[in-house]
Amino acid sequence: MNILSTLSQRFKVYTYPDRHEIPASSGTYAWFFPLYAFDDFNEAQELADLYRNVFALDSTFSGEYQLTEKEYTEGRHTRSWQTVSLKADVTVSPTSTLPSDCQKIWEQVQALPETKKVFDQSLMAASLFTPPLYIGKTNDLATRYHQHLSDSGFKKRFENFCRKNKLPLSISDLIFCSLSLDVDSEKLMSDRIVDDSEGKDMNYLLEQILMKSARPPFSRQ
Amino acid sequence: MSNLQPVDKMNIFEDIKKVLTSEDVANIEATFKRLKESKSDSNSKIQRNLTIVGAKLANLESSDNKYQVALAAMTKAFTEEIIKHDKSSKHMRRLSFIAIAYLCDPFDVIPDNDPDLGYADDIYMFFLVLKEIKKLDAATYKRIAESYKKCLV
Repeated sequence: MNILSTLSQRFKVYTYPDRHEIPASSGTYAWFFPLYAFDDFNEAQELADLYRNVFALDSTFSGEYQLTEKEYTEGRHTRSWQTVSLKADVTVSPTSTLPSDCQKIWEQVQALPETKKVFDQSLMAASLFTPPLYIGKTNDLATRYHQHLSDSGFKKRFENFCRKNKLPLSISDLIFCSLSLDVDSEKLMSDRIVDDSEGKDMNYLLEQILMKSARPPFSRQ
Repeated sequence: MSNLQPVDKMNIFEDIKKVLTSEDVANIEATFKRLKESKSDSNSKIQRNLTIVGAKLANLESSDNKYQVALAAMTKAFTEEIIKHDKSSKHMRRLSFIAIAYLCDPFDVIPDNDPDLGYADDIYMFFLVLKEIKKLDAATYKRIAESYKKCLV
């Protein structure tokens, strides 16, 4: 079986009003940030900057942060908390400024209710193509969803971020996606296969690999 | 004869007054006063919060919590009777936007993640707005109260 060809049936998207439909079964899940086209921005750049801030977080670092871009210096490009030494012949784009023609399009989009509505919906749908804020693997998707909603480190980190950035969003506004294999495969994923692993299963292994490789911004590494 | 209750006799508001502390009430009233004064930063915040009103309403409607269900009904009543109503004044619309934008803010006087009281302050904010609407235009107030009851059913 080619697993990729069956993903469209296995991949499910839930929001808070559909939360009761989340199955109490095993699966991989991810939380996505909903891309609202907030109405208080006159410039497309402001919106792009706001979202850049969300996805620029690096969960491998703790403490206070602020996203600022410093000037390129030879062999070294510094982005606030990350310093990377490079020895390469590369061109670094020092800013994340949108191309100049975007602002004109943005103004046209905002001017008409129909274009604004379509753009807002396209942007929201595209939320699933942004990096996930958090990835996990669980034996019970429904329980995990409610755990995250009621009390979790992820909830605290995300809501602190929103408060600081004046975003009117809480964890219940996020998009929850799940991906499950067939029942037997998921069962095998949650079976104990190593005696002295304190109940840790293949789900745990997969979750750790995902977290370390994708480094979702709000997962604690 | 109408059996409409005055704003301060609506059951949900009576409930709320019992659970809010005097400090909460003072904070919500101060916030209402501040939001009423047109300042660019509060306007921008109101605008940003209103962007998510559709999703917020869907969340509230799917809730089992009586405060959240009441807030969904109030939001719909305000939308129908003031925001979408042709004859509403600019001031009435602004008052409605204040209540709805406050509802959309999860980090208000009592943050919405408090499972018991998280939405009590939002109801009190609607109460303050309704009280002001009643003073300005009793007919609109009546329409909102009727619409609220219909939306609750």
